[in-house]
Amino acid sequence: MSKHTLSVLVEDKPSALTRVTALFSRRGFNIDSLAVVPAEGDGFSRVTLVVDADDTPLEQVTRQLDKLVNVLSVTEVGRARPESVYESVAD
Amino acid sequence: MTEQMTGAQALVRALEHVGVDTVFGYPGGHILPAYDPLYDSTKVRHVLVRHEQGAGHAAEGYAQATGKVGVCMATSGPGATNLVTPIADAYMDSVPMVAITGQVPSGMIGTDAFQEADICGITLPITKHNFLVTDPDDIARTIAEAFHIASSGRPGPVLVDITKDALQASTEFHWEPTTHLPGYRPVTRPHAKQIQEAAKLISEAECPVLYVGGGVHKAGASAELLRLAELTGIPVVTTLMARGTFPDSHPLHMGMPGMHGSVSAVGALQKSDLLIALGVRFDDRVTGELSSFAPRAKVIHADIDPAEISKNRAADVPIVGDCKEVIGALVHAIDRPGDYAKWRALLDGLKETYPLGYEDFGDGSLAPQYVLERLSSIVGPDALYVAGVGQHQMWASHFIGFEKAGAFITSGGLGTMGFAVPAAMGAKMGRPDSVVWAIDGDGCFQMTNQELATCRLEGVPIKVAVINNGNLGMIRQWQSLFYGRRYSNSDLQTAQRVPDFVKLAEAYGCVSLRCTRPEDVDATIAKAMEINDVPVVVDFVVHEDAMVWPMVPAGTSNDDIKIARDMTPRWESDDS
Repeated sequence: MSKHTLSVLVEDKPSALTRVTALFSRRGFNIDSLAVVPAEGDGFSRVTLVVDADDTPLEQVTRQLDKLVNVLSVTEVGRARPESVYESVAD
Repeated sequence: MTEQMTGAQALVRALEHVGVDTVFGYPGGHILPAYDPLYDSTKVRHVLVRHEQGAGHAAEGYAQATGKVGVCMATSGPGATNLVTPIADAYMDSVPMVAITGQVPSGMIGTDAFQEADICGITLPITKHNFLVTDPDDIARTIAEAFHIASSGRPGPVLVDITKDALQASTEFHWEPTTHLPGYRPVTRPHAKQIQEAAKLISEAECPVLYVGGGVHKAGASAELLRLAELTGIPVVTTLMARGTFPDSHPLHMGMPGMHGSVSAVGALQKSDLLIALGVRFDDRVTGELSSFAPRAKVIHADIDPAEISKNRAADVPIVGDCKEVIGALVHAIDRPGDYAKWRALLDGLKETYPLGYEDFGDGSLAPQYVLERLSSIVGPDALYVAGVGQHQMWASHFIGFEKAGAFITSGGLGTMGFAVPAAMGAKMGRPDSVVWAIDGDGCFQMTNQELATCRLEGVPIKVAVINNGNLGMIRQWQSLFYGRRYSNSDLQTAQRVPDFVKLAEAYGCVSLRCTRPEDVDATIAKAMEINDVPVVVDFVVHEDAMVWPMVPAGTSNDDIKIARDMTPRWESDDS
């Protein structure tokens, strides 16, 4: 297991943070730290969180996060995101 | 053009605009404002169910029979929580559904008000998305967004929770509203490079198999699948959610894989060197012990949901896209049939040596499998068959010959007992010209048969075959095999006719029949088929010790499939 820092751009809605954190707990991840700040543009927030996880399950949870309707993007801070299925095939 | 109206009127108008013709629901205090304009709607028919769970499953049945979004409605608190099971069911089986619930007035949220439940919080992990609406101006747009989300990409349930004050307040209604979903962008078109990679793997494979799931039916791709299979000569297995998507009678069809799969279907996966997985999610009920699942196979995995790919089994060629487009592209990319003579011979050998069969107890009793065999033969492949969960579901999957996509509707992922009667009602309302048979167990039937009242009063003449073995049959089977025949709490004592299903169905105004002998089966089914004005319930009293075979015991390898107690198949020419 290693530390990963994810930066998640979400719509600024009351339930958005719950949706993000609930997904981690549902998939068995413990969030080490978390910060939410208003993001560029109106109506968006940036959630930055640190989790302890292996690469494969992290990739899985990242795709699950991407699926959330209120989530616009998920990137891992400090390294190029591993080539995901989504990126490799989405035009 | 805008019109002034209440939030409740805006809700009904929005439902009319998105094309809703049927809503299954049950009123209560906080949704009550919506029921007033609903009373006047000439486009939306509201079907008053007898339990909110019935409304949810009916919406699922309607959705699966029509391909449209199913709609259910309930009040706050207990009304909403009673929808939780069907919502979870729809989530697991990717059924497009919109559930609309009333909520306590916005000023009372969080005060433990009468009939308050945080249904958005409760359904957060079991919906594709959900909305809490507190402003009447948001109602029309939210309905448009909910229907878009439910029906596009990988379909699923969406809940719209609307506070009572939002329903009562005044708003300006206009259509078409501007939807705002910046984070929602399903991918449907497969990447050309991935299709080429897949075609290359297919051309190199010696033992490929098309592993077909519910996503192929949902994409409406059964014709494309038939073309791909016939073009290439690659054998096909259809999962529980895909039964009928490829014709059972086709020589390339190897059956259903999984825990109760046929030997030929399980063998096709286990011995394969290439799984062409289409609209499947490598569910544990298919793979068995994951580490020994299809050990030699490379994997092409196509699904519209990127998060399904490589979730359980790593894919060598991942393809994100709608199965209709994926299969269509594969047909173009592959130009010639492969030479699979040896592979086909192995599988055909398994299919011939280990056909689906069953035990005749030789005591004049009725074998449940025989009932389903005869039902299939008499009723035919044009009907819709809606099964509950348990032994009867597996027998229905095995012994009904499915030739058409969507002919089998059942609760797969969640395994919800009580699904069949309300789902059959919804299916029949969606496809009134089709014959709809619910196939239920005596346990399942006792969970939701109250909807027979709805069927009777709303003029929904479904037919119900209760496969009555007096027990929770699948539980009994496991206890028989794995718990030393200690039948703890699995005997429903239905054999004592408590309840008497014939009297019960009569009480609901249905025609009711009972059949206890093999020689009466055909005449009983024929009689049921003659009745088209009211629901028919047939109590088929069957032997309590009949078991579902084959079986891969939970958590074990597919290689250890049993065709009967202590009997395993011989994998001939194992060297392939």
